[in-house]
Amino acid sequence: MTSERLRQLAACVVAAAAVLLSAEGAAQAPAGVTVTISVYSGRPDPAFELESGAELERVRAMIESAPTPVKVDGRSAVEPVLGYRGIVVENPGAAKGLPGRFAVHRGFIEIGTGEKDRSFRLDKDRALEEHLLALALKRGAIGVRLYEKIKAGWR
Amino acid sequence: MTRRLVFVGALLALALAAEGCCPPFCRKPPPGPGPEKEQLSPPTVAAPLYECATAVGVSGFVPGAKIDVYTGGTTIIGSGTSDAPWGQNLPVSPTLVKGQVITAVQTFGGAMSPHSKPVTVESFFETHPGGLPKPVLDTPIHNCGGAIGVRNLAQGGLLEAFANSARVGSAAGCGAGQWVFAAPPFVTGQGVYATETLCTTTGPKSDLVTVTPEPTTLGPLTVGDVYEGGKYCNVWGIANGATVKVMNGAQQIAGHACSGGGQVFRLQPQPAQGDALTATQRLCQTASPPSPPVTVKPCSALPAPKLAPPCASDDAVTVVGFAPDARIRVFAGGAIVGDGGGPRVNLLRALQDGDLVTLTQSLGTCTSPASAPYRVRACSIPGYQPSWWNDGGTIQRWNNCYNYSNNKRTDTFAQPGAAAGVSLGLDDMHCDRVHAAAVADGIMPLPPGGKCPCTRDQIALVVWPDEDYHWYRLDAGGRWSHKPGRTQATNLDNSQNPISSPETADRGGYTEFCGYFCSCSDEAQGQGHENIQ
Repeated sequence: MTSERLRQLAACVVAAAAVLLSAEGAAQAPAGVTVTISVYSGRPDPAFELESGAELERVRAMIESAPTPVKVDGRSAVEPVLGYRGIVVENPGAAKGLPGRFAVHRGFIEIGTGEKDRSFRLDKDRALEEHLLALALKRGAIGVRLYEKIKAGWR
Repeated sequence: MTRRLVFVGALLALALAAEGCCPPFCRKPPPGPGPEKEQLSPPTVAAPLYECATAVGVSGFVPGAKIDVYTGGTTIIGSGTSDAPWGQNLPVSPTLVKGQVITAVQTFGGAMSPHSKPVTVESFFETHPGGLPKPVLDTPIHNCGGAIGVRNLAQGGLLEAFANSARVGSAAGCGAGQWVFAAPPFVTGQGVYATETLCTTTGPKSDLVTVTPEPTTLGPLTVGDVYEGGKYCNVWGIANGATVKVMNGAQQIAGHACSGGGQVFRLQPQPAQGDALTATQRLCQTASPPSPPVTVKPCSALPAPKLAPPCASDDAVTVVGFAPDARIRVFAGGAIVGDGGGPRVNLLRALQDGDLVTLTQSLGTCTSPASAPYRVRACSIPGYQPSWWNDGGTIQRWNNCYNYSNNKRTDTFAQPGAAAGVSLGLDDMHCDRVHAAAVADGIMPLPPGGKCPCTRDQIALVVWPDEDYHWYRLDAGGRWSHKPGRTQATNLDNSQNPISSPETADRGGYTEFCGYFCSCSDEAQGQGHENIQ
C-alpha cells in the first residue's frame, strides 16, 4: 500500500471516528423519557423530557453505580402525601439502559412498580434526586420558588 | 240498541271531524306554559344580611327585570332595574334592621314572580364577637392602577380604600368581595390599605400594600363569545388595576379600570352580528396587544346552556356556559319550572327523581335550542374503596383529588372551572379563586346550616398558597379520604393518621382551609354526577 493510500485511509478513519463521536454526542434521547416532579395534587405535576444522549447516559450511569441497599422498609418511594413526594422517571419507549420506570426519593431509587417486581438501590447523598431536581429547574419545569420550597423540606 | 250505536257513532264522527281524532284515544295536548305571572322564578337575596347594611344583593332574575326588595313581605325598601342577573347590589333605605325579613320580587313583561326565599337580618357584631374582619387587598397593586379588589368583607358595609391615607375609592353596601375604582390612580411607592365600616364601627385596616411600578409587559386579554342580541361580554386575564378597552373595530364600546381577573362589560352601542370585538389593557404606558378578535355570532349559533347536575328535591339549578345577560328558562317534563338569569335560577317547584330537565337561553328575541335532557337522580354517598382508584394504571394516573372528591372518573385530571370555561393558573392558587371556579362548575358550597342537602356528599377544599389546591371527601363511613394527585387514594394524612377532619389533618403546605362543598355523588365509585372536566 502506498504512503498516499495510507494517508487517505488514515484520514478516512479519523473522519469516520469524528462523525461517529459527534453523532453519539448529538444523539437525542428516545422520545418519552419523562421526568415528573411528584409534588401537586390538583394541578398537573411539573414534567420534562430528557433531551440528549448525554443526559440519558448520566442518569443511567448514576443508577448503574448505585449500590443495592441492605434493608428496605417496604414502602414506596413515592407515597400518597401532600407536597413533594419524589421524582418519577418513565421510559415507555424502552430507551436503552434505563428501567421502564423508576422513582427516587429520600435516598432510595425504586425500580419497577409492582410489589413483586420492584427493586431498590441506594441514592447516596440523594445525588440522583438532586441532579434531576436541578435539571427540572434548569429546564424551567419548576421555578426557583418551588425548587426552594422542595429543598427546604428535604429530609 | 241499534239506535244507541248509531247515536254514539254520530257523536264519534263529529268529534273526529272537530278534533281530528277519535275519543277516548285523543292525545292530550302538552301542558301549556300557563299564565305568564306563574312562570317567573323568584330571585335570590344574597345571604347573610347584616344590620346597618345599605344595600341588598339580588341575583337570578330575568335580565331587564325590575327588582323590588321587601321587608316583611309588604314594604318596599329598595328597587331597581338590572340586566345583570349574576348579581346586582340594590341600595335600600332605610338601612337594614336586625330581625327584618327581607325578600325580593322580579317583574318582567307584566308578570311578577313569587317572593324569594326570605333572609333574616342579623347583627354582625352579635354573631362575630371578634368584630369586623380584616380586609385583604388583591395584589400586586401597580403604578397607574385605577381599581382595587378587596376580599374578606362583611356584606353590606362601607368599603373605603386609601393611598397614603387619602381616600381614593369607596363602595357603600359592599359585597363579601368587592372592587372599587381608585381616583386618582395609584402611584409607585404609595401605601394602600382598606377599611370597612358597618353601623358606626370601623374594622381593622388591611395590611399595607406598597404600590409597585407597572409591569413592562401585559399579556393579551381573552374575550368571551358574544352573540347577536347580547349586550355584555366577558373579558379575562386582566392585570390588577389595569384599564380595559373593548373595541368594535375602531370604536370603543366599553371600558374602565378593573381589579384583576375577569370582568363583565356592558357594550354600548350594542354590537351587531359579524362585528369583530377586541380588548386591550393598559397600565401607564404599558399596553397589551389586542386580544384575538371575537366575531359576534348570529342567533343561530347561540348554544344551549349547560346544566350543573341537580338533585332530586333541588329548588334551584346552576347553569354554565351561558351568555352573561341571557334569560334562562328551565323545563321539566315539557313544562316551564324556572325563568330567570344565571348562574343560579330558582325553580317554581322542586325537582323530583326522574324529572327530565332542559334549559334554553335567550338574548332578546333570539332563543337557543334546548339543552340535552338531564334526568334528575337522587345523589348518594360513596364508601371508602381505595382499590377502585388505585389500579396503578389509567384510573390512578388520570384522576386527581378533584375527580376523587367528586367521585367522578373523567380520566382528564379534572380542574375546577374547566367545565365552565374557567382556566386557573398559578396566580389563582388562593381560596377565593379556586372556590369560585368550583362554584362555576356547579359544585354547591355547603349551605349555612352546615348540612349537605339531598344526600350530597360533603367535600372540602384546601390550598397551598401560590402553588396548588387539594380536595377531600367524606365517605359513607364518616371518615375523610383523599387522593393526592396521581398517587393513591388514602384515608391517612401526611402524618399517617386517619383523617377525622380536613381542618385538623396534617396537610403539609396546604395551609389555607377554604371551606366545604356538597357534591352530587354516587355510592358507586367513579359515578358521581357533577359536571367536571
